[in-house]
Amino acid sequence: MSLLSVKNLSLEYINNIISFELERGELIFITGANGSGKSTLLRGILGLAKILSGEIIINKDLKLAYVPQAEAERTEFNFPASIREIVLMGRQRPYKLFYNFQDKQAASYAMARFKINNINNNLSKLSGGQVRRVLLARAFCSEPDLLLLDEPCAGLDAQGREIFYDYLNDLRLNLKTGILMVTHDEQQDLILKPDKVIKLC
Amino acid sequence: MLNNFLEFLSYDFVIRALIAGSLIAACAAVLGVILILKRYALIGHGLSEIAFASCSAANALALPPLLFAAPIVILAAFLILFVSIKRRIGGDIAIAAVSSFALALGVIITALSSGFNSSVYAYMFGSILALDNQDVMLSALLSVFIILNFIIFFNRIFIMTYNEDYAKSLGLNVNFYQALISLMTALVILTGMRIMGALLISSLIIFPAMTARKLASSFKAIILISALIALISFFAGIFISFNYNLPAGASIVIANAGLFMLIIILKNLKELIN
Ligand SMILES: Nc1ncnc2c1ncn2[C@@H]1O[C@H](COP(=O)(O)OP(=O)(O)OP(=O)(O)O)[C@@H](O)[C@H]1O
Ligand SMILES: [Mg+2]
Repeated sequence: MSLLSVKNLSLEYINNIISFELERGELIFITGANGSGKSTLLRGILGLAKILSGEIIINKDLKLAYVPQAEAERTEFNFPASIREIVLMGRQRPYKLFYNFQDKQAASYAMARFKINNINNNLSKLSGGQVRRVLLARAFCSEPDLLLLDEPCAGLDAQGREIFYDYLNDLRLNLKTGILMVTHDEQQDLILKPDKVIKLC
Repeated sequence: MLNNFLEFLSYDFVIRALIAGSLIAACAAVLGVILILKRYALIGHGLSEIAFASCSAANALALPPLLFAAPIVILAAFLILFVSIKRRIGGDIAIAAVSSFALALGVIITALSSGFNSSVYAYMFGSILALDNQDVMLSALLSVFIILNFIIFFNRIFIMTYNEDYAKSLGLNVNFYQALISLMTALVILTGMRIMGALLISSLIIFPAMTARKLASSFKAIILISALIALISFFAGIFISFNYNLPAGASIVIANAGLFMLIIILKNLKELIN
């Protein structure tokens, strides 16, 4: 069975009827103009957008991780959480109440890999690109089965993108993570070599 | 002066007031952090007005006030939180409209029935020095319930407060935690009303959390500091009230406000120096 299978899906606000399958270790790019429904598709898979017809088949026990497009995190809200606390959220699972040593290690590893320092700092004190690194570290430290990325490189510098490509390939090869990634960057076709590209219009 | 105060502290009714009051103050402060971060700061205010209306109605009908008010206030808390989330309408507007209506209703019921007698007055301004053992038990039970919930579900409550969509994407049952927060808020209001009065209980929810926000940058720290500030202000308020022979509830609010302003001033001074 596929990791994720989307059949004749139609979602609120968007015109496309979407069908595709995502296997373990596969990478699918989602492209299309602004407003074509890329973010909505990811949100639909997460159960955050209204499904009009069609279906999304996904195993409930899978570990899902999601990196929203920047504005979805209310950083302007000045939320009093430390970076460490935010990244650790990624380790949350149903039935897991407390974080153990392994969780803390995984979070530290991801933060170190994305070169995030000042982990006791407040999220509101970071720049846009630094926030992006935090959100990526949060998703990657969860060692997900299925990873949904909404324009993950927006705001990342060259070093940040390099780390991201490298880390993503690690997850894909070693953990067989299936990845759905929204992107506008055609160069990434060459760098990440997706298995499929879905174009929304 | 201090001797007199210490003697005052040894009375049974004072001990009851201190135990119940400090427990409620700490619980309200912890919940307050969640509520102000979710921008539901006004919910405490709204619910307390609804609680007041229900108690005066119970009074007019000669029914036990707390038992009568409890289901109404809990229901109102659920309605306010769920409706404002689902419809994404401004929570503050819904609360302001419903609660001022409730307050007016309470005043009318009171006027039509017995008029402003002492028990109605007690719901409005609290009667911290007239608590009985049952009140103390109730506050103790409630605090155990709230503190346990916060310990067990701390990480989830944190994620929920941070961003509900993100919580959903992790597979958390957002509705459950929403309901839990509503329930805890309603219970704190109901119990706190006996102590602080309907008009002042919401300040226990708002002030310590506001002050703690100025001091902490992590979620865990803000929760703990908020509880600590609530306790300090509570005891300071009781001390002021005893010394200057002022109403206890109002003194506690003044202590809270004073502490908040003090922190703001100190923070600004520190920035000036740096
Ligand atoms: N809450 C909403 N109410 C009305 N329309 C909405 C809402 N959310 C999204 N839309 C519409 O749905 C469409 C798809 O939005 P979506 O955010 O999925 O686009 P996108 O492909 O991710 O765009 P971008 O490249 O700018 O991120 C847009 O036309 C948008 O106007
Ligand atoms: Mg988008």
